[in-house]
Amino acid sequence: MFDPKMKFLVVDDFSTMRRIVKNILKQLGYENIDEAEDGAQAYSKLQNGNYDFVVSDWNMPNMDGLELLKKIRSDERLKAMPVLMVTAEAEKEKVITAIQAGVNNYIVKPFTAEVLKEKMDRIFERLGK
Amino acid sequence: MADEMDEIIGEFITEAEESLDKIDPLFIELEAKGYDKEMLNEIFRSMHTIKGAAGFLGFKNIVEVAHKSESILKRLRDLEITMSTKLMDAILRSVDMLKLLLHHLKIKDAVDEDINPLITELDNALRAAIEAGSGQPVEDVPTAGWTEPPPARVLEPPAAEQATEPPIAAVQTPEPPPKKPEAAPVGAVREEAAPPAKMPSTLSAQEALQTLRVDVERVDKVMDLTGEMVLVRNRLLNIANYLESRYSDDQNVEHLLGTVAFLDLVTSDMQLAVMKMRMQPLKKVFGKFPRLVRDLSNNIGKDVDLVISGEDTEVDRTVIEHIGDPMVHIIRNAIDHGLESRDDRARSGKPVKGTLSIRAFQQGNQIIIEVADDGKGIDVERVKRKAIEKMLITEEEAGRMADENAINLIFLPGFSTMEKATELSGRGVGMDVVKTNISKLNGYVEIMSKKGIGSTFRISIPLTLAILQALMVRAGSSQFAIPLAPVEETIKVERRAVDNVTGQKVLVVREKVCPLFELTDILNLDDRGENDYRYVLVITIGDRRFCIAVDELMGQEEVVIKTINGIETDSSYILGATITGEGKVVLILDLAGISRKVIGALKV
Repeated sequence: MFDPKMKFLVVDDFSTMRRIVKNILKQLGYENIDEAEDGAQAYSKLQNGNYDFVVSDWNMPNMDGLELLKKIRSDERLKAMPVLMVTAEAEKEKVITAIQAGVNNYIVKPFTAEVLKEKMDRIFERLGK
Repeated sequence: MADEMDEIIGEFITEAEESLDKIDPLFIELEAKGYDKEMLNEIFRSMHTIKGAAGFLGFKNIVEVAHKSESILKRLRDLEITMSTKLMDAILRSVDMLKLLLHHLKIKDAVDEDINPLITELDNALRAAIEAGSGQPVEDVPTAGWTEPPPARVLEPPAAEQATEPPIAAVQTPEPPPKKPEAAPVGAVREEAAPPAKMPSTLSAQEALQTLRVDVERVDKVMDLTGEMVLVRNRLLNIANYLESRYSDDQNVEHLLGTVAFLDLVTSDMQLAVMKMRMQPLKKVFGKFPRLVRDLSNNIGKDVDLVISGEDTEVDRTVIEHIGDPMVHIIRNAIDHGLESRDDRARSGKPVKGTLSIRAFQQGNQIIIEVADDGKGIDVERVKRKAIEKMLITEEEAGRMADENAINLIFLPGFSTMEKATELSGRGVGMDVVKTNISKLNGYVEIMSKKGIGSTFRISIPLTLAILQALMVRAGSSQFAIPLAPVEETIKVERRAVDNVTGQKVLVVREKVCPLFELTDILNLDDRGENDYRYVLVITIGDRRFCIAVDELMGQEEVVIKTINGIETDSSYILGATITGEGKVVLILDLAGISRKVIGALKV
């Protein structure tokens, strides 16, 4: 379950947001956190890094979170990667689209460390970890 | 932790401001185009991102303003409503409000802006837009289509979130995606065929990884140190040259010379490298102008086409910081005074829409920025009359004054030609501020104006502000450094070659009569050279040409400008000081200031 060595990839085009998410993950005890500033960069990082978990924003230039998610799910080596999507508001349509595209869970901004932990725990539970 | 929080907030402010600056010019383009999905999306995304981060940091006002305008932008993007001036005004005002709110955060003045009027305006504008689109009155505009919980601080998790959340737990972790789109998990929603041919743009990723955000202070420190190094190099060069002349047989001296020559090379490269580190594209300043021009021209009911070119030209950071205000002033003047009203333009056979063009380019080691309008041009007679009225010049002086000199009267403090003060530019502080600000950058402004055709304000600024190619001269017993750029040529003349026309010394340079001034006279120095010939510097500043006579030319040197505290640089003709290769402190003269003084005093 909880493993501080788990390698995260935080994807957001706004560096302040990346820092905030990183901070929250650190509060939860995770140390190994990398960043990417859009889907395209994230995807190329995922190709050659041993990541265990992706926390991605939705709205980004170049490649948005949904597109990234689809790419991950259709990549033989990455398809099992847990992806947590960060959205600004709980728009039902969006969420449904994301679920259909295979997101593991989603979280609404702003969120606290507790909420993030809950979401992640649920993901781990379902993955049987 | 508190420090960490401060840092994050600081980062948020910078990033949000940059983000707003970036979208600023898009609005105007958008208004002209009417609709552009990409642009709307980019603006939407900026608002959205700012809102998201602000939510974490608990900045409720920012969240609310960004949210309101974001939802308008979303509807615009998705073609649910169409753009109108009213809508655009409201969105622009929310950008302004966001900037203001960020500013309060930055200076930590804890001022609470009242955002309610703006929120109402945004709601009304949206309601009007929806009604215009559907012909139906709309009741539930503010929250239509949005099911989100109210923005909450990080510390209190939004309780509503759990409730509104679709039951994600019920959805099975998706099977590995099918190879064929036909087998998409939910029939109703057809997924796009798995990976579209679009490859991830790794270029932007690489670019991002190779950019480093560095505190300006650190760069400035490196700049300062480089300056010191230049001075040390100059000293060393001097000493090495001296040693060479005394001990030319010594092999060690030869080695020293070689080493110093190499140091010389490295230092020059380093100077250049540091200079480049401080360079930023003028886009940072120009980006604000479309909005400015739009607002100004809307206010006074003139149609203005703004054409900007050369915004990628890079200039020193200091120039970016200080060129904005004077340019805004020139632009205001051009729109207010320069361009005629629609009717006047039509009457004189011009296109009803006026054109304002701003262009920037590099010329040698100068950066030129031009602001040109196709308006009525400056009425020289009226300028003269006004100057007489304001007792800036006498009637007699006005009569003798050449047109190009008369135009420059608008740079005098207290000058303003507008009969009635308008909201735009007639506020007493006028073009003199422009001149002063630009002089501070070691630059100068010239005006070219043709009646009925238009006016061009041309600003010239040196590429680098910290290091200067200078000519070292001696006048009497004092040594001075003179910026080399405006020096057209230097000539050695016999005293008797200098003529005297009605009390003014003149010299014929290349078949043109040129007023000549003794540097000792300009600076009110007592001592006077005795030799039979004079060294004359022919100076060109803008369209003015004059000569300065000195006793000796001592050579060319690269000098580092050190500002002197406590000197009124506007009136002293001193740019700053430097330390020469011999270790002497020498004053650097301000040729633009001198030119204003001597040409002003000149009875042409």
